[in-house]
Amino acid sequence: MQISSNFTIAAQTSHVFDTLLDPKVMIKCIQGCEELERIDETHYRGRITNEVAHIKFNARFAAEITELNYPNHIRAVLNGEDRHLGSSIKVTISLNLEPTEEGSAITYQMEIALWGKLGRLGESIVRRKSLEFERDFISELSRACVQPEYTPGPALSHQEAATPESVQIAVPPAAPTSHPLAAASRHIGWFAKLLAFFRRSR
Amino acid sequence: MNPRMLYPESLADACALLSQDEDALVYGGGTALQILRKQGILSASSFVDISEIPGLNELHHTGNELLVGPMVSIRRMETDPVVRQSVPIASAAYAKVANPRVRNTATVGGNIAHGDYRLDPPVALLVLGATIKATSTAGTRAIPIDKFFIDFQLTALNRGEIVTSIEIPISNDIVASTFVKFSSLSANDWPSASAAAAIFARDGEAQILRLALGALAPTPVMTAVDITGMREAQATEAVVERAMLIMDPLPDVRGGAEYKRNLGRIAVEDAVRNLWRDRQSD
Amino acid sequence: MTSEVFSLESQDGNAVGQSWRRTNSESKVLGTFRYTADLPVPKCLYLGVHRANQPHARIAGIETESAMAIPGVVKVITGADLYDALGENLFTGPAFSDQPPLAWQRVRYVGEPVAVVLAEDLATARAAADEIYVDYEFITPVLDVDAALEGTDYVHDELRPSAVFPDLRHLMGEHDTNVNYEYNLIRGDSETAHQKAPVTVSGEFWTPPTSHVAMENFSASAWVEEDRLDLVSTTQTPSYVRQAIATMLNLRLNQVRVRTLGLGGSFGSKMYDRLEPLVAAIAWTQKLPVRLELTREEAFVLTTRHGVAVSSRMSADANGNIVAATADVRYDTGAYADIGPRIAAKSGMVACGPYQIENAKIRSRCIYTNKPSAGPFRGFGVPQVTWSHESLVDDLARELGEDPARFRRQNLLREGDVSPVGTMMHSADFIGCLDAVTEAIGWTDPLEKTDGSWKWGRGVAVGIKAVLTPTVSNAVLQLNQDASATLLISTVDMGQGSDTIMAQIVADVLNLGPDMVRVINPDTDITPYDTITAGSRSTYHTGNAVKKAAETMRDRLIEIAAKQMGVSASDCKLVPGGVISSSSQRLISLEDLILSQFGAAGTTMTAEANFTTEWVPYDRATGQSTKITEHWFAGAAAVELGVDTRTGRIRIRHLAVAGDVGRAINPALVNQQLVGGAIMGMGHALFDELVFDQGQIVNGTLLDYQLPSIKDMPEKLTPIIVENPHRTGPFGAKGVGETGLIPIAPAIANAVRDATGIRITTLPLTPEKVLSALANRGNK
Repeated sequence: MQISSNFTIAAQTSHVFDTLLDPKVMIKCIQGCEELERIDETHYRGRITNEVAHIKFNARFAAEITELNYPNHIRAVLNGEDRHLGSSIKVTISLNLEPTEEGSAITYQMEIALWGKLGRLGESIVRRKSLEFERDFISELSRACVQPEYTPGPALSHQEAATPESVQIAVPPAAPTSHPLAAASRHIGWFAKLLAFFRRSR
Repeated sequence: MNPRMLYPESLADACALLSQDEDALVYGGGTALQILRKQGILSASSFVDISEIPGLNELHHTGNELLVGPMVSIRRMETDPVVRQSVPIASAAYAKVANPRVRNTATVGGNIAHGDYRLDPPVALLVLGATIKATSTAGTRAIPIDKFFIDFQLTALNRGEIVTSIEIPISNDIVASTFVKFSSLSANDWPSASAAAAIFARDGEAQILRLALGALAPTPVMTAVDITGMREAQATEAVVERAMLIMDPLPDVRGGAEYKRNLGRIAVEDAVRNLWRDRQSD
Repeated sequence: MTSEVFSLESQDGNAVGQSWRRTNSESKVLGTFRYTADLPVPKCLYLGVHRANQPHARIAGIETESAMAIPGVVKVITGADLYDALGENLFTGPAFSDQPPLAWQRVRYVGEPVAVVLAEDLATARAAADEIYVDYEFITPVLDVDAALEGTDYVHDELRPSAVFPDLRHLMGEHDTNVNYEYNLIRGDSETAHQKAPVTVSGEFWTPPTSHVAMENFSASAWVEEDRLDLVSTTQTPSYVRQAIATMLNLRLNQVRVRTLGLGGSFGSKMYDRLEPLVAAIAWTQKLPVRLELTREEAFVLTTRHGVAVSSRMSADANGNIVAATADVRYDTGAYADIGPRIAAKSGMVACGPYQIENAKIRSRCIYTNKPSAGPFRGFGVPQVTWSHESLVDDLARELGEDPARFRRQNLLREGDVSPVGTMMHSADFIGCLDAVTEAIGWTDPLEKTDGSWKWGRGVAVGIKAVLTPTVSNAVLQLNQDASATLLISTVDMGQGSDTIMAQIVADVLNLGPDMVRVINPDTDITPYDTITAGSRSTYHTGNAVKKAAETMRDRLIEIAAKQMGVSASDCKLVPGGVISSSSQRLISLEDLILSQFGAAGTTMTAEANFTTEWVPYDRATGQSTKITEHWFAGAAAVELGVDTRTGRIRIRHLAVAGDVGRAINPALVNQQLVGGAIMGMGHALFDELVFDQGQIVNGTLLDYQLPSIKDMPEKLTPIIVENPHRTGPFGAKGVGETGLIPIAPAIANAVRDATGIRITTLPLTPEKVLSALANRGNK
């Protein structure tokens, strides 16, 4: 299954790029991600749990960055497996960042392979779930990049505005190159904008 | 492992069982749960079968409402003369569910709790403005149908809640109603587009067309258009325009988003045509 | 749906040609029929299969501890365990010895069995199988035929053709390829002929893999009795299975017993190596009784129809004669070859269609990919090439401004013609079939082509298939003293009605009434060798063996009667009721005749016969053979349909299907086979398709897989029997199991083209595809 899309983050490309490689931020951007650690420069591992249509999954995964061209391009391959459901997933993601007037334009292509019992559930469930992942990912990534005092909120799949009720991990303020205040001023309406972007790309 | 089957004999017992085990699921006719169970992907520890609880399979006509128990079969909604006369659009939608074997086994409560975006009955219930009663150890609450379907395969039901009744208003304002369903592959497949619509006339003048769509967005969706004074072509245009805004189809083996959107538009056009034909014949 | 009225009543006269009621029809309708899974077997351990969740990977390790810890679990067996016990014998297959019953070292498709749990009950076995964990090292998968041909990733490190086939021996050990077999047909000079021809059409055609979805699911049980293995299995090839298992376990043939009862459908799915190598290997190596029952989801990955890509061209001269045809055929055979190489050759060879073509060139390849193994499916790979040639012929006719039926009529092979493969045509009345179906739907009647958003059109297509040759059939006929007969054959009745027509053949020769002939279920301890029950071969081959055995029995009865009556054998005749002497007009009943012969009630007489066909192997370079096949199947379909240009939906008003069956032994059953094939073909044409994403079947459940239901039937469906007796067929008869399916999809697509002007080359013709083709044309 191929999914491709694009969105804009009101922050400098290098900052967005750094944020993407930060496991402490990524753990909040990836819906249901319960563990994420960086093993070395290019390898990560973690665990993700989620539920859809009465089906709960709990998958360990390993991710490898296979291409990296700072601060414009990342290609990564993620392999995960839910032992109980006899299913495995392979996600190949290729992501490009370009500086724009508004901050950074991000385009990406994802190729998702889902093998085993979950794979035969049908494309609609997978696509729908991917859409949720995507929505939360973009939302959290934007918050992480543009807010001066970012505190990751709980990944909320069904609410448009995430209000951080419980603060679990405190992340240091964004790097000085990100011009956080300027970015924040352009941040208004970002969600509507990215949803529009998302719809357009489908 | 297979979930344990539990057979409470009262609603209170059923609610207690559900409150004690967050992985327990309410079991109605079993037509959806058994399929998931056989796929080996269901995470349920037990099935709380509510078929032994007295009263849940009853149907009452109160004059201005139809009170439907959750264990009433889909087949009864299709065939019962009281349902057919009082809420024909609901009866028509229930009549299109799956096949007679499934309709004989599947229940009204299980159908709506399943929360699938392609189900036939919810679109009719949306147009009619039904209310879902849900009971748990915390008591009973009423959920308006338009607040019931929250997201893909997700309903407003909390863990531990059982659908205990569907209350369908019987409106004298409805001058025409229709249910249209299209599958894209074999005739007996899940729909790729369905539409329920009704014209409500108030004071004999103002006319509101309520339209609900199934299989065309992650949940059943609804809209209403004031068609007072409109001719058929004008109304069709207005309703289609509004309908296109609420469609957000999921691509799958049954077709891409654009194809489903097109099928949805045709379902809406056909629905409006049927309404006009019905209204003329009155 | 309306259809011809089938007469199910037996009438006076000979049994052959009568529509005898199908054997066991009442018990099947009442639900009391005993299928293979109902046969009592010893108390078995149940097998739960752990399946691969990778399309291509090395097995780095298998953790079985948590499965073993579950109460009721007896054992867990892996491919390595079986390899340790059986070595290279573990690998089986009808053409290539490439498939292990449990993956060994490497998995090659999602759903491949990797390990099995033996447990005291089915639920425990399945639950424990989920608790097995396999550590995989990812290998790049080969996901389609084009990637398989162009890429440098290989499904198998080297080819492993079965040792028993001399024509495959040269492929042994070949590596760096995903092509396991290539057949080439060369006749004349097609390239020059294409260039010179005034009109040429071409296309890129695709038929997707499909699933058989027989109503009866798969099951097999095996156990050891002393020094021998007993196997009860849903198989349509018991003789093959006995041979394959004996070879795998290094046993004598008489140490393996394979039994099957009537099957609830198969369509090619229950052929060759399915569950049997796994249950046999475990039962024999563990000395334990075991039973395996598949879930419906598991059945979807067990075997599929071949997805086939065809790039083809066809040219005609100004007189409307087809002068050249070229086809490049790529069969996607999945992870294991199964019978794919034979399909690529024997079906690829008809890729130009049943036409008089002087210049033909076919390249047909069987290609490995990392998908479930594809195997035989009703039509044996022929419907996929028919999709190509019948679409092209139609386009060629339209390019020339000719009527597609008349154009075909002009070019079709006739009795005595030599086909492009070099073999003479006999008893294959394409023109008779074509005329019958076009007449049935009123081909020349005026047609209102537009009706609101609906466009109406008509289409026709023909189909040709060669019967599998060489093959062997045997029959043993036992006549009991009370004049009832017991017929021992290994032909499997899976709904096609073979038990009924074999009984009719015996009854016809011996003048017995209905219910006097019982056909014994295949049991390799009792019933003699039969190559396979498949490829529409049983009526002709087993039918000939049965007829010969019955004739031998008749001759012996006459001989004995002559002796008893003191007359010459030539004076005696077998008639209803016994043997009569024409000179004395004395009649001896069969009961009395056998009683006096042996002096005891309940005695038996036995006669047996063999029927074997031969061929001339095709030339390796040109594919030519003077006898490629024992006989041909000929069929045609015509359809009148509407296309809703709003929704893209197709509605079939009338579908007529005809087959030349030589002679119909049982016209009702022939009609039902034609109708059944046509309905299956209609499903393939409109929506039946296995959808793959990255090697994963995404619609492999009955919730998502699309099959025709009663609501999808054509408004009218007309089966037509065409009879051109075959000179060596039993009573002139040939089979009909596949004939009705082969031309259906192109007939429907040709009608869509007639209605709308659009040519779709990729099956199935879903409404979305139709709409998008209409929109694309609109944009041009």
